[in-house]
Amino acid sequence: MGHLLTRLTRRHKKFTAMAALFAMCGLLLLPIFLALPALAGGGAPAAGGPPPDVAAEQEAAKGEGEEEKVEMGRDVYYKIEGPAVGMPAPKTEDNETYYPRYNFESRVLLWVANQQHLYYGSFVLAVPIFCMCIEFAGMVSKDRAMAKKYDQLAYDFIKISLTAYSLTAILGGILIFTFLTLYPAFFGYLSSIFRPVMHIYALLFVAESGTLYIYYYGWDKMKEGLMKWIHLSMCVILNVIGTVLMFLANSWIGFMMSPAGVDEQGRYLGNIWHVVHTALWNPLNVHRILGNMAFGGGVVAAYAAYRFLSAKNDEERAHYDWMGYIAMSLGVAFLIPLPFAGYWLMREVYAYRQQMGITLMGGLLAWLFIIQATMIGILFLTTNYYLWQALGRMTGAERFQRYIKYLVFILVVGLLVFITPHTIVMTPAELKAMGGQQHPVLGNYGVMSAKNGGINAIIMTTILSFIWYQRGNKIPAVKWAKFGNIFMGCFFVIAQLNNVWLACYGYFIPANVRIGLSVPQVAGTLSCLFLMTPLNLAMLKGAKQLGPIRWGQIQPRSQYALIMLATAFTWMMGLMGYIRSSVRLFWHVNEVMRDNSPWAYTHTIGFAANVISFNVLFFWITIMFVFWLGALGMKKAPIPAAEPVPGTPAPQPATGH
Amino acid sequence: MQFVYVIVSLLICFIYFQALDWFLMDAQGLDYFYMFR
Repeated sequence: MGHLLTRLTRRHKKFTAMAALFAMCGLLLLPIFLALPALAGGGAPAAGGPPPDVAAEQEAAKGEGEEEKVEMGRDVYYKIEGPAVGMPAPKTEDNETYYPRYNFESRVLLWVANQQHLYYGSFVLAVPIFCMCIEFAGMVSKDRAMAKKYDQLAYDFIKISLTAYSLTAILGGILIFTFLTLYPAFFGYLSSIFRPVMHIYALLFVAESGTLYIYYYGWDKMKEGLMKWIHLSMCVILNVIGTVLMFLANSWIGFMMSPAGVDEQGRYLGNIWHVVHTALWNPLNVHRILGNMAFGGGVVAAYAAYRFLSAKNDEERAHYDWMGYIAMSLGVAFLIPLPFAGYWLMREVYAYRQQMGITLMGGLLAWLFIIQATMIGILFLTTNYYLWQALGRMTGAERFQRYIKYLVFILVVGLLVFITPHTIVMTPAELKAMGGQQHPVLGNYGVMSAKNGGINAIIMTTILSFIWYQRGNKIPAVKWAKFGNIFMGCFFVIAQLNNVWLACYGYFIPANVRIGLSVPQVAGTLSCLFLMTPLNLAMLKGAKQLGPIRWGQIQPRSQYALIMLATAFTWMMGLMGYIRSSVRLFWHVNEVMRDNSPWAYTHTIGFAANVISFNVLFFWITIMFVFWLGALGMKKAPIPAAEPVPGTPAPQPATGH
Repeated sequence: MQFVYVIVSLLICFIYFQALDWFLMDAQGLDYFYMFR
């Protein structure tokens, strides 16, 4: 009887899970079904025009045979004609009607609200994606103790993200109210164009919340067999919704930077896809998702570092050392392709409006790009430093120590080339002192051809550090190990030389050919990543183990490196958000809706840097509160302090949460 | 034998990277050997 009950319960659970999964799929597709009537027929009624029922009544009232006069407009980007069904962009004036205000700069209030929402939004987008990867790693792991460990880690991650999720929603509310109360004319115009998109966004938000809660609260109920796979599928759905949400939000900022789907007066032309799919939408999507992932990895790694430093015993230290390493690895995996996505975004900006690109990189905002390059250099240097420190927790990794100084040399030279300024905004006195717009010596070096060589040299070196880390406590035992080692060494040497050759070659050919060299430079770096990493893993099959990885036995300074990594990333994200936003200059919507508020000027670099620093500080204070909440009532899970080594007794399995 | 391995590896890598450079420039409609013509 008891057995029958157990079976029934199991069946019941399975049925409930399947029902929940289908309900989620239904919710996911619901916005599309709801949007279909509005989008049918070119989407004209969906945005900027009357609702379908009102339109039908108007049609009937006009009577048959009467020709309707529809004014046509020409799309500012797609250059095709369309019916101007929307209202023109409002021509604002500097008064309380268009720009209600406190005795404070409205733009800064909006800036802070926007940045905080974005920090939290990217954190709650990245963490469930990490959870998905880690839970999957646990499910396919043959080692039961490791599987348990991975599962516990994924659970810890989602627990942190749950509190952050509520905070993201609160900050989103604050942002909307800030828009409505301080920039009503602009937000009214934007929402009249994006009305269906904003509704789909809201519905997806409901679907995401539901999926997240089922995923979190169903963790213990769905931990065996098929149910576990369904649980993981929920996470996949959660991440698809999260990513689509971000893409939709990106369409609004893409429209503000590079409007499409409207005529020169800003009248909506009836095609919602044109409004969403602007020139910069896809580059922004790719760049942002990679940036969010790297940022999320950095924040979780900093959390683990903080817990490591405050740990009371070796067991806790081992767990948080391992957690920090996993988070850092995931973050850096997305940091490596991030500069390439950024380069693509900038190329698209130049292709869309050359003047916008020049403002960014050779004009008003150029000095900010030098700060950005410095921050990128700091990120990669810190990553390498952490990996070299992490070699210290492995037996046998001492053999790499004497080569590290050569890597430091390459990294520093690459960084110095990467941060060399070329064109900067100067006062007439500074211009005179320097003898022209470019420095007589340094002016030759700060060009894109050389900078690309610099950053690619840095990334290749980081990949090499990762490969060394993978080999730390292992010696390849395959028959072809000798040839493999020599080939890998030669590959990295030739890759670096080819990179330097392309950087120098750029000086001898015209600009239109030179920009093409960036593609083989990137391909060379990606070759190192996608050819040498698998080759290394193939060589390490059945490798001789020199000893266990002693989790927790690492210098505390490595943990400060993780905290620095996260802080630098947070600051850089704030900086790049400011650059992207301020490149519109005195436009709300570039070349369509003018910003006539008293704050349409561009801030000084010093003021901008202070606001960015305030944003970073505010985010870290609030996220510390979130971490503190997450730590309340968290049961300790014993974690084996060392990886099992063949020939030694296996560690005791960890208990559940 | 080690010397042979090094020479063979360098040759393979050099050819790979030069072919990659040429192919990716050609795919963009650009002339990789611009300076040498």
